[in-house]
Amino acid sequence: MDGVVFFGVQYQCTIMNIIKQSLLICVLSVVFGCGSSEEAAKEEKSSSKVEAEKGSSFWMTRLAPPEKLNPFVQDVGWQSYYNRNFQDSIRGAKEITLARFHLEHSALYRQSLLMYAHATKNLYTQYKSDDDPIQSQYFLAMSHIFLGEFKQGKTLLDGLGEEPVLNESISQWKTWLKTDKKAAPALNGFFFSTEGAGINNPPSWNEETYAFSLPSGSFYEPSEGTGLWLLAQWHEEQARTILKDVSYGEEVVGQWLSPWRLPFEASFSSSPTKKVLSLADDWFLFGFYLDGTDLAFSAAIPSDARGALKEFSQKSTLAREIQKCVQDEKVNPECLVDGGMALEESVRKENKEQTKDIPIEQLNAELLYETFPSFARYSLLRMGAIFALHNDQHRDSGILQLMVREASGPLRDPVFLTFFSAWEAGNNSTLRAQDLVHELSSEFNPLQTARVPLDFLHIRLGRNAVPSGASH
Amino acid sequence: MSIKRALGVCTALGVIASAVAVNVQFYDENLPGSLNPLYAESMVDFRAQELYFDRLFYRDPIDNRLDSKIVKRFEMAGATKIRLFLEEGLKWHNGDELTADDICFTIKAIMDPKTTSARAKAFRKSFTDCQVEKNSVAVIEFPEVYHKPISRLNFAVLPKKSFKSTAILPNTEFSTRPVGSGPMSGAKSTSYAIFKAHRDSSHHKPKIDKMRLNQAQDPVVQINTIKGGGMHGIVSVAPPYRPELASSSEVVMKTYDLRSWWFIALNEKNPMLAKKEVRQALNYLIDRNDLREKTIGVKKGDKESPCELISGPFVQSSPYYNRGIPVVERRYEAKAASLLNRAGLEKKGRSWYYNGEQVRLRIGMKETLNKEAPDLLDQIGNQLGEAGFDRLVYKINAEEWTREVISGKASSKYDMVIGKWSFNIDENVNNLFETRGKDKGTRNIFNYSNPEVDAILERFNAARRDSDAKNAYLDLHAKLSDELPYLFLWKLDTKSAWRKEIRSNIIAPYYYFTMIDDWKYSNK
Repeated sequence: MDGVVFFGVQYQCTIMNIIKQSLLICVLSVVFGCGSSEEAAKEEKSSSKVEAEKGSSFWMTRLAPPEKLNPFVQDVGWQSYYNRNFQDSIRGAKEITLARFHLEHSALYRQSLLMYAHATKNLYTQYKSDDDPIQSQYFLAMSHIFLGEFKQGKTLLDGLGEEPVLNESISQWKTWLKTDKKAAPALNGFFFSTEGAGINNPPSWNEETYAFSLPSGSFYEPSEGTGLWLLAQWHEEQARTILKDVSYGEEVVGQWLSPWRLPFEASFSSSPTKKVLSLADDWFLFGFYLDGTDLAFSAAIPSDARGALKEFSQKSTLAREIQKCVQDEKVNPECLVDGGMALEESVRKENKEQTKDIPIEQLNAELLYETFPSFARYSLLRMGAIFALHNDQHRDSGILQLMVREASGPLRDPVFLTFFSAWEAGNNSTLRAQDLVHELSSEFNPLQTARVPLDFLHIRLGRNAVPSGASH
Repeated sequence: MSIKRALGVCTALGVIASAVAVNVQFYDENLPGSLNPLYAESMVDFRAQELYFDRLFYRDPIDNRLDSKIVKRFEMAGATKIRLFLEEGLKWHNGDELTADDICFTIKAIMDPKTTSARAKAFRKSFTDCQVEKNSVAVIEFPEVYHKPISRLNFAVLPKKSFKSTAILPNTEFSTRPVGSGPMSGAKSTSYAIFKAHRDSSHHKPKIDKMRLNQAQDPVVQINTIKGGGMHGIVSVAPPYRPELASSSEVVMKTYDLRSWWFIALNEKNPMLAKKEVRQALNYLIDRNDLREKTIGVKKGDKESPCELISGPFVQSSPYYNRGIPVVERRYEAKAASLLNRAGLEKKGRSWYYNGEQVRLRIGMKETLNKEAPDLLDQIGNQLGEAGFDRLVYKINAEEWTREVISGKASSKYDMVIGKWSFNIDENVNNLFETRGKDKGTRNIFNYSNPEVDAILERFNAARRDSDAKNAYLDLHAKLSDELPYLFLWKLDTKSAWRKEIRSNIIAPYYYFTMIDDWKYSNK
């Protein structure tokens, strides 16, 4: 084969083709290209300058000097968090750090309930079977409610006959549905108990499922999802308790939980503030907001993605990077990938510059020059995924979510992985969601409850597929 | 801009623009056995065929939506019939038009009992007829009402003109030089498979011009070659080498979602292995933690481990996995010895004897597994050797594996074989363990037969409710962990590595290259 090889890439070319195409490109670049390249260079320079100045406000660069990072390194709660021992992180943390960890748990359990609701709904609607027991109506009703589909939920609950085991639960939900729904439902029971729990000690989880006898002699064993809502609320309450005397307490809770709220919460939750809060580093370390502007941007996305982008693109670095990648009102995932890598590189350069006079043995080089910069890259991919989802770019959000899924070590965020699993369940895609739930459930035991309808959906999809069986 | 600079820029741009034939090269574990999609046996076959052929409908790997490159739209033509309207301008690799005739031909080939393919048999029950209404309109009939009938149409479309009849046999020229309609055309030789962009049809515009599949080499060679830029991708990176590639700025690691688990199948035609106590003893003699550490580089307790031990024929994340059956993680020598004595074996010195003869085990392993778990065969051999069993070890090539091991013809050659099974959403394991018969037990390696197991498998087949199906397989797990036709080892996540120049490379679960049209090469 004719050609030239550059680094394993074989190029077929002829001399005439090179000349012909060169001439064409030459003409085109003289007419169109040369003039604008100088302007592009100017714009890039000023953009880089802005980036450099803003970069110093990112937690990844602010906490690079050892004297800034050491207090966190020595903290038991943070050590556990960094090592992915999330239950130990709650046990070992205090004050603002503990409030943040509680909010992260609250977010995670909200997303696990969303996964539960999607899987249940799809199982008993799109994939319903004549053999589905009557009691499945209750679980479907509950899922509709969590998805904000109150009318469907109410119809199903009203249509359920006497179910002694479920009567108390049904009654509580019906009572709430009769209200104006401007307040969160006041629920108790549902296999959930806070006995023995405390601010550093989450409630023990009851993995029990229901067991309804079936004519075949076997049992229908669904799990109760409402417990996940109660657990999410419990964690939120712990955070509020810790922050009750902090001026921004309510505001930060509102912003933090905004991207992760369940659809039905729109009925009773107030909109988060758009104020950029002045927050301590405990809120940002090993997290995916570069600074307070990103948190505010993220909180504003769910109610109006484009409006939030417009409002924050001058303040939030992540918003600005997303804005650069928007064409015809759609964000381009490929462009965000490049943007993320550029952001990562800029953080790496900044950290190297800040620490250039410190002996290498006094630094954790991998943390400062690899891990911290990677947080910047993943922050952009995550924010892009959330923006795309609320910008009616379902598939593009999925592309970005799949990239975030590849994160490892301290970058592997259980909240986002559960968010991804919920998205997958909504798409009737069970394999990846199951693997992630399995991975996370050793640290977050209540996920075992969330996986029950996902497993049933998986079984039903598999048995309805054309048999493929094992391949070698 | 000065004229001199402009000319320099232009020349550089011209060279780059002329470089249109990019040849992306990658390693896969083996060469595909057959390129005829009806005769796909291995995961390599499925991956390669995804490049050469179009499945009528496929699942988008991002959002799981059912989509088609061939069908423009469809409508139900009755409760059990679906009318498909094909896209215009569809072409096969040889330039022939792809029409409704080809769709119906494919279905009739699947339905033809003379088509001996196991894949065809799996689909056969899904259709009763196909009629061509117009050049680009086909009506397919199903035997019953299906909830989402297009999900049953995920088979590859075959060209009618390439076959003499609907009876399609495996070993024809088509299996090495296929004519497909997929994003890539090409063929396979004895040492590689080539793929060339198929852009002469309305439904594919791959951005990569050419690809070449090379058989995987020693993992160290693969790693160094990809890092040096000599190759662009590795479909499956051996776990010990993943950290090195993950830290490279030139390479991106990507998950290949596949539900796979590894096993050691035991040959009960060997009178000694026919005894359950002996099989149970072997189960106690295999130190899985040690094997995993030495061959995969994962220690017990490692976080984010790609390798999780199992105690039955499912991965732990599967709803069918019975969590009440613990994994035997380490060696239990005393238990094993007690079982072996009970089975009538005798230890003389350091060796076990049965009926007066020293026990010697012939252990085979599918050769390609050595690239994922280096030295696994020797390590298992060593463990059994230390336990007092003489052994002979063999690496089994892909052809022998398909021709003899899978088809149950290796009972006279091996006492144990080490292998791996992979699954898509259908985790049906019936054909691995049911008594071999017509269309049953088709992957039963050593022709294992147990009426109680058959009864459980039948319960699974007959189950109407999901909970009944789940319970059947939970019982199966429990039964097999006691009977041990296999020693169950682990599930191992698969990770691919691709150079960063390969962009937009979404890897589809199971099929891998479903989105190849979007993949591109960019050296920016």
